[in-house]
Amino acid sequence: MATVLCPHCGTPNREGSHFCNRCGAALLAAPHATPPQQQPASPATPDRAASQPWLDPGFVGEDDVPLEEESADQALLGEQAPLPAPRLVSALQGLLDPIRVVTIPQEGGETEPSLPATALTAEKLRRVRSLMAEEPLVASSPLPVPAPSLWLRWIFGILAIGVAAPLLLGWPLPADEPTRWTGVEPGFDSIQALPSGARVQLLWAFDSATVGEMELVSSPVLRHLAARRARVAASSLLPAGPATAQRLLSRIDPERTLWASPDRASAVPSVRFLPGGAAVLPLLAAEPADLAVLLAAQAEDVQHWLEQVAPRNRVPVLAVTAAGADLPLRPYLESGQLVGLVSGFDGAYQYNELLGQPFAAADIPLLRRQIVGQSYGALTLLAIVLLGNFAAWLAGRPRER
Amino acid sequence: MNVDALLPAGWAAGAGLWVGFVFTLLIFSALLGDHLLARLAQYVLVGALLGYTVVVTWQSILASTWVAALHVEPWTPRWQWAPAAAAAILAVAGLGRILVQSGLRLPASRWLEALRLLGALPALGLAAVAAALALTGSIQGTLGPQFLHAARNGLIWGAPWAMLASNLVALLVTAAALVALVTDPAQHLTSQPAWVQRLLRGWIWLGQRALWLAAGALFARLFASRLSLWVAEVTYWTQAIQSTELGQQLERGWRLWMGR
Repeated sequence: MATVLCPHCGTPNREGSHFCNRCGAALLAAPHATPPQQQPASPATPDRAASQPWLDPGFVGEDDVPLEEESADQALLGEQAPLPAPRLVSALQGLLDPIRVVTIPQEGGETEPSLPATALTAEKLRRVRSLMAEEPLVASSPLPVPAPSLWLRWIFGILAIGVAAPLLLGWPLPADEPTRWTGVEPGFDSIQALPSGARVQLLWAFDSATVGEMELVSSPVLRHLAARRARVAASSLLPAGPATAQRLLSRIDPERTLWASPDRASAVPSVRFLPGGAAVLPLLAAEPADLAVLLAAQAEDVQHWLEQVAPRNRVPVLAVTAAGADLPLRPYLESGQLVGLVSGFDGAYQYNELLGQPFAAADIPLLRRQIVGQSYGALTLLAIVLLGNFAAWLAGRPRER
Repeated sequence: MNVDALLPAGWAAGAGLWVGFVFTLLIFSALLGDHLLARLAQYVLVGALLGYTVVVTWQSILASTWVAALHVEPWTPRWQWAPAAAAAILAVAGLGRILVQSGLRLPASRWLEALRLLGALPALGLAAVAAALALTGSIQGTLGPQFLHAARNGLIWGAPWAMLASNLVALLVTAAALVALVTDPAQHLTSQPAWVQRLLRGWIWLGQRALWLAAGALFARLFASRLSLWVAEVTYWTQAIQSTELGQQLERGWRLWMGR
């Protein structure tokens, strides 16, 4: 794929881009780069290595610790020299080990003659910017290799067909009956055990971006709280959280039974917006409560509450989440830090049954569409991954003559 | 003036639906290539979100509690001015940095330099508080309780063998991942006896696979959440447009074409 280099920072961008993906500079007059297939794997091309020897992976600067040679023990054992650690692993290692950054020689050294500032060409400035924007080179990390062509348009196109075709053609559901997860029933019991007028802290951690799934799973829990005559104090860490909450709550609880008397008189239910993210959560630990209900699209919001609030006020916590957040929150349910976990369509279905209010017939087609799209989308991606691996395996096989 | 009175009933909802639909298509069209309309839609989205955040922050926090309290009783307690001063310094220092980054050449001045250094103090305070909260929170809310739970239930004699085996494997893989993270074979293993090298290399190999698997699971989670967002978006637009007159005509045409 042809790319165009940013004149400001040197980042390669797709051909036809108007702006740089890294720095946003205009690309209209930028020079075109050679396709990645024609570029050598090493970043230190001959001319580049001559002018900038520190870009060569073999270069050792004054402060650098040289790599140890292969020991005699290894040679005797017939072991190969250790392969460079994968990118992820080496990056994580960099956090724990002192990073051996490839050093840049002092000005006036023999390898790179010093230049007055005025002699720096635009090309050199661009390279310096590019170097400053990159992560430091870790000595044990592999050489930066040009990213393989992923045919992203094809991947997105196939995924779009994989989701749209079952929706338009009415393909059947992969599974008939929703799964019954542990955690829903204890969650239901924790609300059922609340006395009338019990104080409940409500964390509203989703907004319009995740409203499709979260409204589905939050609605039965909020209806249950209203039926138990709970008194709710709601907060949100998202700017659009209060508006999303007010829209759903005015539909579920039009009589405002969930709110304490001053709030009940107001036109809209009051949901506080707390800017500052998880850093402000400890303030909520001072509020008295009998139960905390977390409506969170991401597992991290529940984790933050369990780390910042729950150890301080020791109030039982019920998490109501999207299906994607279920897996990382299971250990908290098993350790007893969560009294209940209601997640995704399955959780909503089971909670509605426990509440004695199964889904309305009008809701079923909408739900069905979402589950069909999600399931066939995941299947399509799995097929793409398998095909991609198969193609890579075929491409990597030595050709027989 | 009430804006709703100037417009026919339901006009705003209908316009919002179609404007939102067009903007959604424009943002999706970025998949086909970078172009001005896709950029415009992204800028409008980000700008509207930031503007909304500023308004909500002002209304729900600054104006209603902080500014009102300072207005009524400016000097009790006096420490209320400390966050105001820190925020003002941070804002001015940040503005200076933005101006410099945008290419504006400010005259060299000791005052500006001092302001820049002063602005680092509240920023440092914010970063330090966030780091301290994250560290203490992860210990008291995740590591401690999870370790205690595992120690009490999973690794004791008399526990069911399946649970015992599962927890031992978890312990082995966790330790392998940690060893893979902190050990550089080229640096740490060469001076060790051969059998230690072999053992640790095997353990590191296992730890690296565990890390790859964890990275794959993270990607799968990310993909699942984005897919559900995408499907919810498609479903919403299908339902919203289906209820309009144009949508019903399109549906009739589709059914006719499909023979249903």
